[in-house]
Amino acid sequence: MNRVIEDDALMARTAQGEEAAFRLLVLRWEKDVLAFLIHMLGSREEAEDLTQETLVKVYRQAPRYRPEGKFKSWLFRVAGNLARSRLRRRKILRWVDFDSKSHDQASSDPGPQRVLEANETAGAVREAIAALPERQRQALLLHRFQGLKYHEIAEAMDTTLPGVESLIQRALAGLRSELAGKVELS
Amino acid sequence: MKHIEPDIARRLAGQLEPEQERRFDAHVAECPDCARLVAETRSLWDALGDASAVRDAQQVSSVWGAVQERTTGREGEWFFGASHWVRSVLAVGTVAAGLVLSVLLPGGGPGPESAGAAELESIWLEESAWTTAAGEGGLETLWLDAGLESEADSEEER
Repeated sequence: MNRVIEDDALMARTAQGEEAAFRLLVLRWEKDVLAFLIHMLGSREEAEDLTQETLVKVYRQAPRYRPEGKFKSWLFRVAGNLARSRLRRRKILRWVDFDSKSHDQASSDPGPQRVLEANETAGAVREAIAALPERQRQALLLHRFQGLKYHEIAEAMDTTLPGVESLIQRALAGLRSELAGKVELS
Repeated sequence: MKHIEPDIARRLAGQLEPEQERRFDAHVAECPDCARLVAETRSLWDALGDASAVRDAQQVSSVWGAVQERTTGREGEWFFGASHWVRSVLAVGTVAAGLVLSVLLPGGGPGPESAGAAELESIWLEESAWTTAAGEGGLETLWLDAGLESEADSEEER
């Protein structure tokens, strides 16, 4: 029979310096965070790096953590914020370094579609996900892959329920139009 | 068609309330345009599932070592970063203090805190086994096995 210790209880014990509690949290969530970040960033190496960052941040913020919402929403808020600032930094760096050399590198960048794509359809879908605007992508990933409910996504993304509704609706519409003709959708 | 569009994703994720779901399905059954949109979105929904990076993530080894080094592992830095003779004096002193306390204090054994840590350790091992098995055999099989196992458990309990 499986015993369950709630995430909030583990956070409280982590805040008291109990390494085993923190290790259990890491084990429980690292793969979900990594999968989310792979889709957000389109690079497994970067996603692994930010998964570490996210979990380190969780540890450091444990003493200030208040179990007011769902731990999962809070965790993905941390991961999402880190991903978005990484994407912003990436854009700035590309803009600053924009010369023929960096342009060639950017063109030969493996890109999300080549990250472990299993087949053509999955590759096309991943490419389409990666092409979505950041916030639409984040909302859709949290809903489809992490199973978060709309109010939990609103919590994770610091927005309202209608805001989440609109983001997901636009994301799905964007994917439908992007994939039309590439993937059979009915 | 616009009126059901915001609910499609929630319907596909099974997150509508029963009454909302009933109304949604009743409308889709009568409206060919909405039925087409739902069918198209359902295919997209499935395609998204197939493109998920969850399986990829399962194949990546745990980041615990690196995270530990940057968090809890750092707590020992003051000790390991100290010079050799300081560490030696501290180590000898700690052992001596332990011996003195074991003689002076009656009873012994692990206190409630260490019992908690042992419990966490065993849960960690359980969850590790689950994660490893999920990576090897697929989550579906694992959930199925777990269901059968818990049924067997309740049979035994009866």
